[in-house]
Order: sequence, then structure tokens, then C-alpha cells
Amino acid sequence: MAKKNRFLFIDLSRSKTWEEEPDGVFCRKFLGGRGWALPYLLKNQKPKTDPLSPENILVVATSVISGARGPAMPRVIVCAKSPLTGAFGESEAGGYWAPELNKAGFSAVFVLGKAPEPVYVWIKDGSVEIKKASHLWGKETGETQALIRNELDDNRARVLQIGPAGENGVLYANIVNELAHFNGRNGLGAVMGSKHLKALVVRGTKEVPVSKPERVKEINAWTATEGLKKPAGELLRRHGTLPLVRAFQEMGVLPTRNWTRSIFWGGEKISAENLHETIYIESKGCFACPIRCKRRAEVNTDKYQVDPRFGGPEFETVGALGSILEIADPYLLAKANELCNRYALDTISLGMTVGWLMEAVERGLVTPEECDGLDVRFGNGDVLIPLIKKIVNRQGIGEKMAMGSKRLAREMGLEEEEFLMEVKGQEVPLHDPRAKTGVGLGYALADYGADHLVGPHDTVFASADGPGIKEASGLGIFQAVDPLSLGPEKVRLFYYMDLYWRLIDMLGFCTFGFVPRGPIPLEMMVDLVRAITGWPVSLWELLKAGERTIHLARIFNMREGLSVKDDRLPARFFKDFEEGALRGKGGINKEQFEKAREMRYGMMGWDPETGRPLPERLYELDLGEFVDEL
Amino acid sequence: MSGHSVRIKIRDWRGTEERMPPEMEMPSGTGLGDFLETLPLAGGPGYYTILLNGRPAERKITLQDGDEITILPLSVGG
Ligand code: SF4
Repeated sequence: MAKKNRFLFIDLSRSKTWEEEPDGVFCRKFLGGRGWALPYLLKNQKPKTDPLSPENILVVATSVISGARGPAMPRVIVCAKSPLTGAFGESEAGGYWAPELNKAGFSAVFVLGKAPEPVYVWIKDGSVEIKKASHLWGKETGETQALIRNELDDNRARVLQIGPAGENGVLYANIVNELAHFNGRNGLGAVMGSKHLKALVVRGTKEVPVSKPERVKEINAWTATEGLKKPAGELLRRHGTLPLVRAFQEMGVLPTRNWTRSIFWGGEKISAENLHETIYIESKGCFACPIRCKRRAEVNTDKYQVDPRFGGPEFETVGALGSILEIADPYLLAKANELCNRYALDTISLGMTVGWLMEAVERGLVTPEECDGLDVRFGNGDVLIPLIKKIVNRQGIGEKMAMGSKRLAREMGLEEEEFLMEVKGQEVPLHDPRAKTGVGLGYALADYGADHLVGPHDTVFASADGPGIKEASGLGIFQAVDPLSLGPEKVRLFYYMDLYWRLIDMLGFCTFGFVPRGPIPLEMMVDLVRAITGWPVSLWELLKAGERTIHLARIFNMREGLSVKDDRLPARFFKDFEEGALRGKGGINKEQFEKAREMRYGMMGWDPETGRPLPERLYELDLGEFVDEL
Repeated sequence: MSGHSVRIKIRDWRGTEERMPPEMEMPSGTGLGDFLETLPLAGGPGYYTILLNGRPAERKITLQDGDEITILPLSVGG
């Protein structure tokens, strides 16, 4: 017997809750995550809704498979209109919250309105209570979790919460569960804060029914043994994402000094090897996942103490706060990461916003007085912690920095300057699209702004004997594709991988678990869905579900006024590298990029000039009910 | 060194438990691709980023005495 999916609705303005059971066709057609959020938002939220108003609906979703004890499937997906981008917003987190919600009897929570005063919601085995949280408002995440568990007298209550950054409306505030698993991007913590919602706390004691539990068990056992012997599995288990620091540094593509350089003089100090020597104490995992790729850091020096409950910096954080700012002190990076986690603040947007300011000061475009007298320059780690505190508390320069780099630049009258590194208002992650053009297409075309988990990571498909072709050929990718090309074969690769990653996200799977990024093969992924739901699904059917959501998100964004001009890349990526193995290649060719973008619109069945979905494509995807939204 | 062989330096950054020797001797005229096939690389050479003297190189290139090969994990993302 498979589980029944139940949706919980919470209207904070009226202090009311109710349940709905979506029909089976809806569940199978849209699967979960953004698949459940987008139809609801399109039908129930007016275009141009202020993202920080009570009318912005927050969806905290899992999926039709969540709660089963499979490998790499712990994710909770949060969606809402993003205050950072003004577009559809989405962010996924691992941890333990999503399975617990399912054990408590629900598959998704839809939060409407705004509470008159701070509250948290306590969901236990099907019962729901809205509880006062004024005493928790202003508290850091660690203290909040401890107080809530104490108050509920339940040490196993799973707390998904915002920190002071979300309460104070920082536009890149995030949401955290278990203190170390983040819905990191798009500023969705600020949406939660605007609703006076401090936390969603869940506890479930019932096992989630699964159609074929033995098959799920088998796949988990395979992952724990054979999967961990595969290169991707072993690497993740031993080092998480951190080996990328050295890989990028050796290639000369490590984003450094706000992307003006690509080799960091302090690269060795922030390498996986040195971070394991200095700050990491152990690896950790997520619910039922044998890969255990997450790290915990602990520091006890005279200058810094870092509490391991808050996890440890992964590659993106090490790059954003390390090489981008030219800070090579592992202890400081661990402390800054811990503070961001205490305040629930996205480290990528933080690093890029500070990096922009450092470059503006060094170019003489912003004065030290405008930075509250702080000596803001690359390499000066002493300013990092004071800046984090100013941003979270929106004091002095922190008031402008809390709005992200694009608005900061606009406030300073410098928006046109070429050193602003964002797309749709969201700061770019740490993968240089000049070395991986498919990642560049992802930055430009992702519906929720620059993101590195959208398209292909091109090096995986660079040779016929690489994991992309050998292990993901079931997606229809049979030949190697040059990482630097932007021809039709790259656009097709992007198109297919985009469908695939959207599917992985909406099912609450973790991207690190599955080929070509992780060890679990495509067939096992499909088998997991079959074994859990009991539906005889095919890969084709599942990819179609992923594709539906790309079209729905496009409709959502067009209603918000976004257009082709928002599907772009920062100017710096069209210039050559200053150093490293790829110097002389000339950066991304703008004309080729624009042609590739047009071709992708065409492949999607969108108008090649306007990027507008065409009705016939929507009918083909069984989305006819959304044609009028265009 | 014998006249019929070349010494190749290896920098192994795969992050695996098993480590490559820092240097290997190969018959002169060995191509990069053939050399990589002799290494115990789980999955095969395509599962790694390979640099020859710090730069990407064609697998058919002939190795020279003193060449340095760097083996890195693929930049998959994360
Ligand atoms: S692969 Fe890592 S991040 Fe993903 S579910 Fe497993 S432990 Fe969590």
C-alpha cells in the first residue's frame, strides 16, 4: 500500500488550518515540490504580488515519494515568489524535516496570509496548532531550536525555521532545518519572516506506507555498498563538494577577487585537504542516506569558537567567502559560516554582495565613510564578521547590503558597472561558465535566477568514457560535448539535463545522489518511484512532469513582467580569463550565447524571439488549463 | 634513466584512499591516453579531469620525459 498525499493549509491571518486531499491524477502528473506549488500559485496568487506582503503564498512541499527510507531523498522544497528576483522562487534542503512531515501525515504545507504577531506551527501526527513565538523572535537558530524542543518536551521535533536575517527582511535570508540543512537561495526566509512565521515544527511517529518496501531496501543497500565504491560516491563520502577548490584552482577557473582572477594565492589553505586538517571533525548525512556527504566543523582557538551543530562550510561557501573575497583563513571561514547559519543567511549571495562592495571601494567608486569606516578591501578578513552583523541587523551599510548586490549597486548609482555578478537579481554561484558553458545557460535561463544545479556540468559530458555518456545515456545523450561549445548539441544537452534536474528536485531527491553527479543509476531512480508509489511510471513520464514545471514557471515569470532580457549573463563572463589554462579562449561569445538562448526557446516550444510558451506546447504537456494565463 | 623510457610525474588529487605513485617510468613514445589506461583509475580516465603540464591535452599526445600529469575529480558541481 502506498501513502496518501494530504496537503495542509494554514491561513495565518485568520488563524485557521484545513486539509485537502489532491486527486491521484494531480499527484502523478505533478509529483511534488514545484510541481505542486506552481499550479496553485498560478491559480491563487495575483500577478505582481508584493513578495513580502501577506498575499505571497509560501509552499513548503515534499513529494509523492518522501518519507520512504530510500537513499538521497530527504529534501524539502520551498517555493514562493522571491523577494530577491521578483520571479518564481524555489530552494531545496536535505536533512530530516521532509520525511518527518510525511510521518506526521502531510505531504505539503501551504502558508497563506500573515500572523498579527510572531508564531510557530506545531504539527504532530495529523494535529496542527498555531503557537505564539514572540519570545523566540530575534533569537538565533540554535537557541530557537532548543527552546522549541524544550517547550514541546520533544527532543526529536524537527524544526524548520528562519533566523534573525529572515525576521529582518534580508533579501537573501534562508530557511534551515536541523541547524545545518538550508533552503539556501532566493530569499525565501524573508517571505517566511514577512508572515511572522518563525518555524514549522513537525513530529510524526507513523511509518510512511510504501508499495514495495523490499525493493527500496535493496536500493539503499546497493548505494551503501556498490554505490560508495563508484568514484562519485567515494569522493562525496570522503570530501563532500570540497575537492572542487583544488580542481578549479589547478584549472585556473576558481572564482577569485570578485571574478577578476581565477587562481587564488590562498587556494592551498582553503583546499579540502587543509580544511580537513584544520576545521572539520566528521561527516554527517541526511535521513536514511548512506552517502553521508555533509561535514561538521569545530574550532576552539583564542580568536574563534565554532559550534559543530551548525555544520561546516561546503564548496560554495568556501568559494564565496574565501576566494571571492581573498580570505584564506579556514578558522575565519568556519566562523563566518557558523554565523550565517545562526542567522539563516545565504552565504553565496553574501559573498558576492561583499565582493561587489570590495571591488567598488578598490575602484574608488565607494568611499570608506560610506562603509561606516570599515576597511573594506580584498583580503581583509577583519571586516567579514562585522559586515555579516550589520547586514543581519540592517545597520549602516548593512541596510543597503541586506538588499543584495543588485539593489546595493543601484542605491550607489553603480548598477551599470560591469562588475555586478548576478542574474535576475540573484548572485551567481561559484562555477565559471566560461569553462562550462552549459552552466552558463543554466545561470541565464533558470527561472529562479543564477543557479548551478540547473544545467549540465559540462566536464561530465566532455568525453565518451566519462560518467555523463556512460551513465546518463538513458537520457538520450550519446556523444561527448565540448565543455566550451555553445552549438545545438550543447543546447540539447542543456535541455535534457534541465528536465532531469527539475524532476530530481520536484521529487525531493538529492542531486548528489544520482548520476551523473552521484552514484545511483537512472534505472534505480525510476525503480524507487515505482517501488514507493506503486505506479508503473516510466522515465519518459517522469521527465514530462519535470518539463511541465519549466513551462509553468515561465508563465509565472512572464506574468510578473520578466522577459528575454532577463535571461542573460553578467558582462564579465564575455571577457577572457586573465590567467590559467583557459586564458586565450576569449570568454563566452555573446553572439553564440544569444543564438543558443534562442535555440533553447525553440526546443522548448517557446516563441524564439519573446521566449513565450506557445499554446500547442502547453496542450501537448496537458497544461491546457494554463493557456489563458498567457 | 634508460634511453628507451620516460619518467612521468603524477599529482594525484582524486581524494581517494588509494594513492598513485608520485612518478612512473614508461616506454618512450607512450601516448597520454595509453598511459592513463595503465593507471588504476576507478571508472576509467573519463571520470577525472586530466591536465598535462597544467593544461588540458589531447589523449593522443606523446608523453615526454619529465611531463607532469595532474589527476583531479570532475568539476561536477555542488
Ligand atoms: S548525498 Fe549527501 S546531501 Fe544528499 S541526501 Fe545523501 S547525505 Fe544528504
